[in-house]
Amino acid sequence: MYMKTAIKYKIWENKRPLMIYYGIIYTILVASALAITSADNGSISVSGIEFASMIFIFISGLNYFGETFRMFLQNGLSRKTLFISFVFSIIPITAFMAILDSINSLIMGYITNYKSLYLQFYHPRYVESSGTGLQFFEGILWSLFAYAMLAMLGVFITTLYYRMDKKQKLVVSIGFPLLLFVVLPMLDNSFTNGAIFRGIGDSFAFAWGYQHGFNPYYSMLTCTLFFIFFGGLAYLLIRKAVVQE
Amino acid sequence: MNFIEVKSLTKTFGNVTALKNINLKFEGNKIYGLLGRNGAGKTTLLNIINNRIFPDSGEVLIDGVTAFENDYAQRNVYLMSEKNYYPLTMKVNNVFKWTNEFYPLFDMDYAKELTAKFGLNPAKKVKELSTGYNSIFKIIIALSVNTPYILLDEPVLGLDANHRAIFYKTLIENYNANPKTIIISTHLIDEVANVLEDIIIINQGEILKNESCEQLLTQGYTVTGSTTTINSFIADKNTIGYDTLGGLKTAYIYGSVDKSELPTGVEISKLDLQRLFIQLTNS
Repeated sequence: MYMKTAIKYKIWENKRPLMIYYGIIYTILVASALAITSADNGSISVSGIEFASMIFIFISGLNYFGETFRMFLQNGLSRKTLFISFVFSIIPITAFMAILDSINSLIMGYITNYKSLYLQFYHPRYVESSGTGLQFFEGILWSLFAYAMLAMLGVFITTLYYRMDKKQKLVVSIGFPLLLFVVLPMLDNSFTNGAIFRGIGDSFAFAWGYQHGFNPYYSMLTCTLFFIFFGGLAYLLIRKAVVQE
Repeated sequence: MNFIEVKSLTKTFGNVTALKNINLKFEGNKIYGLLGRNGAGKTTLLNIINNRIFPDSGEVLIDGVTAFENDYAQRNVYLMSEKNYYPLTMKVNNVFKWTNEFYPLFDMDYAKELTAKFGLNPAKKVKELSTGYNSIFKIIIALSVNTPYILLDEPVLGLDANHRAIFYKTLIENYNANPKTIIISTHLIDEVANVLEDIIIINQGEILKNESCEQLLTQGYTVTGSTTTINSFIADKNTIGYDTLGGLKTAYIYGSVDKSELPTGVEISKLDLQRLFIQLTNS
């Protein structure tokens, strides 16, 4: 019973931001559709608005923990219930967004030259296929898995920062970008002759299914594994989290 | 089993020991006063009972089951804390609505009645409430949740004299209509003394006293007289403290008094709770 209420609360909490977000998105889409249909030379185009959804869901993930943690503890819910409610509220929210975004893409595709983010990634898979049904279904699935993974990444980052003290936050905030954008490229240039970034690129192509006929199920599996990985880490951090006075 | 049991509880923050091997039992349907100076460990104890922080060692049982990470045990407890844990942008009536979801026995009509009684505007956001109304808003929830155990940490913080009077009156009415265990942690000892049945005095993380209020106050007495007379009277007594003003001395003594022993010119009176508390914790 408590779990059901906890999930209901998390979905209710996200309802207002979602309404605001889609209010903005629909304004942009309608304005774009009007602009594109009235322009006769095809000079205006719009595509990949799902990227905005990815940023939105990631930021939502970053805001998933602190306030809810205090609210749930105030109302006698355990950390375990909190975490499970996170997982089971992320899924319907991201599913809703994935379906809505795919419908938007479909409609925009009919009206304009709109290309969804999914289609930009996996277009070669549908070159020989005339039907849009499979493309639409796989687009929803791909978005759902990608959104869910990004939401959980946000949850992991926010719980990590919640648990760290000031020094640790400073080390991670400076150290991680430094490692990724300075140390790694330097090492790659000086010692491995580009092998590190080639390896990363190959891994990405494999994980995204590009090496297997642009198969989106590879990326769905990758997203699932990362969802479990980030979720597992987030749970370990939440398990012993205490209120910060 | 209708009690909260605290067993061998120890909690440290860095090199500060907030609770030292605490053992306590809060029985059903009683009003407890949890008294202690700032930093004595009162809030830490309440936070551990409510699963907000974890102890280093020991355990807390609510009706015989562990209080830690246990939704079912925590369903029986509501902690009104000094700090606010509700989302700041949430409106008061939405907080009531969600409390009703989390605590199904929450009495919405009673909450609305108290809202009117205290003059709280339910359309306000939590962040818009003054310190006093923030306490009132949490008091209303605490009195409406209908859990067997209510823990009130500094409930009258920021409340004016009128609101404090309404609170004490409402608390007694609520308790009489629907008996429950109420633990009140406060600094305003004089005001709350009349509603407390049992007193737990905590000092530097240790339990100093755990007795009924009546018993505690009959364990000592106050004598006032000239400094010389009082000094000679208290020489063989267990004196817990004294005040001197000019040539007059007031001594606070533990133990029973034999009135026939009293020298002439010495007045005897009861200890009051606040004075006893000050003397006991004035280390």
